Order: sequence, then structure tokens, then C-alpha cells
Amino acid sequence: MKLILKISVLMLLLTPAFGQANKIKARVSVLYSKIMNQESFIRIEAKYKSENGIEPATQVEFRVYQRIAEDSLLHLGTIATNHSGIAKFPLANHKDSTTSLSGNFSFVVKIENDPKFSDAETELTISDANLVARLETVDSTNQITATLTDASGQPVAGQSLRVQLQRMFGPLSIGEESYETDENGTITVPIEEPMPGINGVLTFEVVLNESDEYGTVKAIIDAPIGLPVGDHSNFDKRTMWSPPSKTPYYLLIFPNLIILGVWVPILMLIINLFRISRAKTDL
Amino acid sequence: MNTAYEKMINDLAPKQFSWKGNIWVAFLVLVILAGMYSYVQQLKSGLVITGMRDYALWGIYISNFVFFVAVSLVGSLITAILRLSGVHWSTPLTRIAEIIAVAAIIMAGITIIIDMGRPDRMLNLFLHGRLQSPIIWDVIVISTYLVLSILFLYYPLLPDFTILSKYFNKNTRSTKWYRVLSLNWTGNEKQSKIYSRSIKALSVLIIPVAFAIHTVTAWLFETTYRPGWDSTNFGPYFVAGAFVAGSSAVIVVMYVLRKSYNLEDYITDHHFDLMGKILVMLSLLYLYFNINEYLMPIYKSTEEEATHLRSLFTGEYAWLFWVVIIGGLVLPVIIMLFRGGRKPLPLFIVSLAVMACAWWKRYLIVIPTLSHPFLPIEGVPESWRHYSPTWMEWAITAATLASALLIITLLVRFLPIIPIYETAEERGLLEAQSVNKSL
Repeated sequence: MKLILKISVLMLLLTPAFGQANKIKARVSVLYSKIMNQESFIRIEAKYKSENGIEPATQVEFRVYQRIAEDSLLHLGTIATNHSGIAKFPLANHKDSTTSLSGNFSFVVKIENDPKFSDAETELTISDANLVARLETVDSTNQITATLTDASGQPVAGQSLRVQLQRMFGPLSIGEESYETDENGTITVPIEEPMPGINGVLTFEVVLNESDEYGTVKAIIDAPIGLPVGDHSNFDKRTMWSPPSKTPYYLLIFPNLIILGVWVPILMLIINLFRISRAKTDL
Repeated sequence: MNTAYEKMINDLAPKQFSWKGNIWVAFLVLVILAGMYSYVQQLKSGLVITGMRDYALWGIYISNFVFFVAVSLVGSLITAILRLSGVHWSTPLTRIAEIIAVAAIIMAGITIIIDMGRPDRMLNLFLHGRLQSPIIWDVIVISTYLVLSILFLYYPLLPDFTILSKYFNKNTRSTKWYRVLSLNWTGNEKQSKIYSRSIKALSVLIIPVAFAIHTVTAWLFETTYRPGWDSTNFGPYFVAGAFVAGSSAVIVVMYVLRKSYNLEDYITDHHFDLMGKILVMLSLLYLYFNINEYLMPIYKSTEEEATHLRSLFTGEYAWLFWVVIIGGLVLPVIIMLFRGGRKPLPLFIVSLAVMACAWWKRYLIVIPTLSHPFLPIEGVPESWRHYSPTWMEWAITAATLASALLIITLLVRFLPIIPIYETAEERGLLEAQSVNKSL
């Protein structure tokens, strides 16, 4: 589960280097996401314009750097786009090395010496933020409370947060479309409607979505306040649509009994041909 | 010297092709070569060379397959059912029925492979087949019926092979082959006992398997929720239709062979008369199933069924539908009800019409249903809405039909068309010849 910040930096790099003239210009967008206590990553998407319209740029290798000074880059790694033209570059311990005193950090994503696409460069600058969500019960009413703070722990006011519930095919918005953080960087959203969840557990997400300053920041909490529903999935059970190893027993037993019932006499009939051949004389 | 016995062997022993026979084989080989050329194109380019697309995903290959399965059923009818019923008049026809059954079931199996987009993956059917799938039931039942049909053809040939090995004593190659294939048959008591028991067991065993083969083929359609296929009637409906197709095939082949090999003493007008009566009975039975199959759905006229049936009764397929029903069932029944209609030549012509209509009937079962899915056809090219077989598809299909005829022709060339031993036994010629002792 990931929320994604889309910092749409659309760069068409026209590096006027020798040998770039016949190469295709890629449209690169870089997105930053942070899921509290889980992961943070950069999502890179590359497209290009062809005769058939906009198409994903597949198998394009991107070099990812962190800017550690005005004129100094540190190479973090390399990643290639998949068949959809998307690459997800995981960030590990970036805060230690990239966070400046103000809590800002920058990444630079480059296409370099690609055989098909011309060189391109995109820079992404983000301020670190933290989002903490918790479930509270006030006067028998459940509510989600979430607080947004910056890198120095100061509350961030005036940011729009969404509260949503994870469902099978996508998130379900809870309450209003978004809630603005108060001077304490906090929102409070009551959960009024009882909703079903597997074993009574509901998974809520509080999301700061595509903020220019902080990117996408998401906090996830499991709350045991749902109406319990059993897991009725028959995945991995013996069904008519399961793989051969999970054939229903009755379909294993009866057809195989019939097959045996027919093929044993057939084998006997074939053996009888040998018996006839050997019984050349009455003896 | 038993001259009647020797004359009979002389009449029934396999004979070399005349010039007509050679031209017939050459013609069949040419048709097969044209089909093979088209199939090579299909292997290279895939099923895109056919008229099949997303909606009509089964075409004439599958209707042809169903036809072959139907025709193969005849072996059990003529041979097993009549044999178990103690009917002896059918003896001269049993070999013909068995040969047709073997040829048809071989070609049914091959036609299914032809319909596969990736025949190189056929082994996966056996390696990863799921017993839940009707396709696997079909694979199992077709291979079982093929083995049974071959056994059912082979067993009654054992005494005949011994007879032929002596008959062809001047031709060393034929003699050698017939002797090997006779499995040392001398007709002694022990061999006769095993032989009789085996034939009886085969007769009993082949009937349920023959019914299963066509019932399972019907289930391939019936298990798919489609207008026109969603019927609990489909198994017996298919079996009844198979008996009609198979019996007409026997009549056609027996007429041609009687003419070609001058077998009027063995395949008499009486045989045609009786086969005509059987075909009338089977056609009426099939007509009854057809009425059930169409009357109730049109009475209820749910939207999808009504659309499907309108296309058959008055729409796109109407001319074909009525030709098949009237020309392939109603008129033949009326003609065959008269004694004159059961004479060899009229019955041959009627049976040809029944067979041709039986083939097109399978086309009408497969194609119109696929052209009328429950969900509307949208967002596809116009050509995908209608199925029209390509010439390559026709060439491949014609080649499979020619292959079946070639198998029949070659078996007729090397096997006695009429069981010599059984005919001699029924005519009381064995006692005089002491065949059981020395053949």
C-alpha cells in the first residue's frame, strides 16, 4: 500500500551533446512517497511520444543521486523501468545523509548514455514530515486522530489530510473529502458507521497527498472496531476451478473408478490376444 | 472340395484397386496435400489464417470434430448392439461399420489437434489436465473409444487373417503379414473360447463408451452457459443425431463397396431395406429430440434464446437450418417410409443427403450460438461479428474428410470387407470345410 506524491517535474532534456541528435526525448516524472514506519521510495515514470501517441519508455536505466552539496552528488543506485515505464527506487537511511539543517533533502534522477533516449535530468526537493495516527474512543464514539509534524517536530498547520479505509478494490473515503490540520497539526475524524472487516479489523489510512513541500506521507493503523466477517474465500480449496492438485475428491474417485472399470477389461482383452497367440494347440 | 466356401473366399478376399480405385486414392491424396499445405500455413501464422476470432472461437474444425465423433458411434450400433441382440442379418455390415468407426475416431482426435493454436503444447493436456474440465473427459473417452474400436475391428479379423494367409499362399508378402496378424489362429477349442468371451466382453464394453464419447462431446457445449447450448437434453440429443449420421455413413459405404466389388450376393437389397428402416427409426428419434430442443426455448423465448432461435428460423442461418431439418430429416423419413425408397440406389442418395445435412447440422449447433453471446458484441471490427470460414480452413477440413475416406479405402484394400469366417459359419460352410480344424 503506497501513496504517492507526484512532483511532476516534466523534463525534456535536450542535452546538446554529440550523438544525442537522433535519440528520443523522454518525459520523466518523479514521485516521492513515505509510508510511516514502513518504507519510502521514489517512483519514476518515463514516457515518450511516438507515432502511436504517448507510450511508456521501457527498460530505461535511471541513475539516482542525492544532492549533498550545491555541486556534489552522491550516487545512490541504478534502476530500470518495467514494461509500464515505471521504476520504484527504494530509499534507505536517506535522512542520515541528505537531510540538511532545515529538514530538506534533494534527489537527482538522470538518464545517461541510454541507447534509445537522450540524456535527461530531474531534481526533486522534499521537506521531511511525519504523520502519526491513532484510534481514540470518546463517549463511546471511535475517532481517528492524526498529527502532522515537520522534521524538527513542530506541528504543521493548514495541510489537507484524507482519511480512508482500505478495501479490496481501493480506498474508501471516510467523512469529508479532506480535513485541514489545525494549529497543533492535528485532525480528528469520527468513525460513525459500523463497517465490516476481516476478523473485525479495519485498516485506516491517513494521507497527506501530493504536497508540494512534503510529498505524499501516509500513516496506517489497524483498528479492531469493524463488524467481524469470516474469510469465506475458497482459494486453495478443492473446487471445480482449482488446479489439478486440488481436484475435488468426488471428481478424483468416481471418474478414476470408471476409467479403471473400462481400462482393466481393455487390458484383459489385449492380454487375451497374447493368450490366443500362445494357444496355437489345444494343449 | 467345398466350392461354395472357396467361391466365398474368392469373392471376399481383398483385391487390388482397379484404375478407378487408383484415381480415387490419387484424388484423396491431392485433397490431403492441399490441406497439409494450408495446415503448414496455420502452423506458421497461427489460427489467424482461419475465420475464427474472439467470438466465433470455434468454427468448422469443431463442427467437423463433432461430425466425426457422431459417425464413429456407428461401430457400436451395427456391431455391438445388433450382435448382443442376436441379430444375424447385420453380419455382412459389421466390418464396414467397424472400419468407419476406426477411421472416424482417428480423424476426430486429429481434428481436435488441428483446432489447437499451439499443437506443440498438446502434451500439457495430459501433464496438467484437470479432471474438472470436460476437455479432459473428452480426451480420455476418445482415446478409450479408439482403443476399443481397434480391438473391435481386430478381434473378428483373427480367423479371417488365417483364411487369407492360406488364400494368398502364392504371394509371400501378403501371406506373411496375414499370418503374423492372425496370431497363430487355428480355431481350436481354447482359442475359440477366449475369442468368443472377448468378443462378447467387447460388445458389452463398447456400448457405454460409445454413448459416453458423444455424451461427453455434448457436455463440452452444455457446460458452457450459452443460448442454444444450455440444455439438459444435449447428451441424448447428440447420441440420437450420431446414430443418424453413422447409419447413413454405413449405407453410403456399403452401397459403394457393393458396386465396386460386386458383392450383391452378400450385401443384398434386403440389407438396404433393413438399414433403411433403422434409419427411419433413428431419424424419427432425432426429429423428436430436435422438436424438444427448439420448441421449449422458443415457447419461453427468453431474450437471448429468442435472438438465437430467430437467427435459425428466419434470420441469417434460416436457409441452412431448414435445408438441414427438411432435407436431412423430414424428407428422408418420408422417402424411406416407402419400400421403393429403401431400394439400394434411392437409399444411397437419401443417405448421402442425410450425411451432408448431418455435417451442416453440427455447423448450426456450433456457430450461431457463438455469434449470439449473452453480453452484446461491442467495440470490435465488423468482421468479428460474423464467422466465415477461410479457404484454408475449408482445405484443412476437406483434407480431414479425405483422410477418413483414405483410411477406409486402405483398410478395405487389405481387409476383407465382409467377415469371411462369420459369414461362412452362418451359411453352414464351416462344417463342410472343417474350418475350425484347419481353416
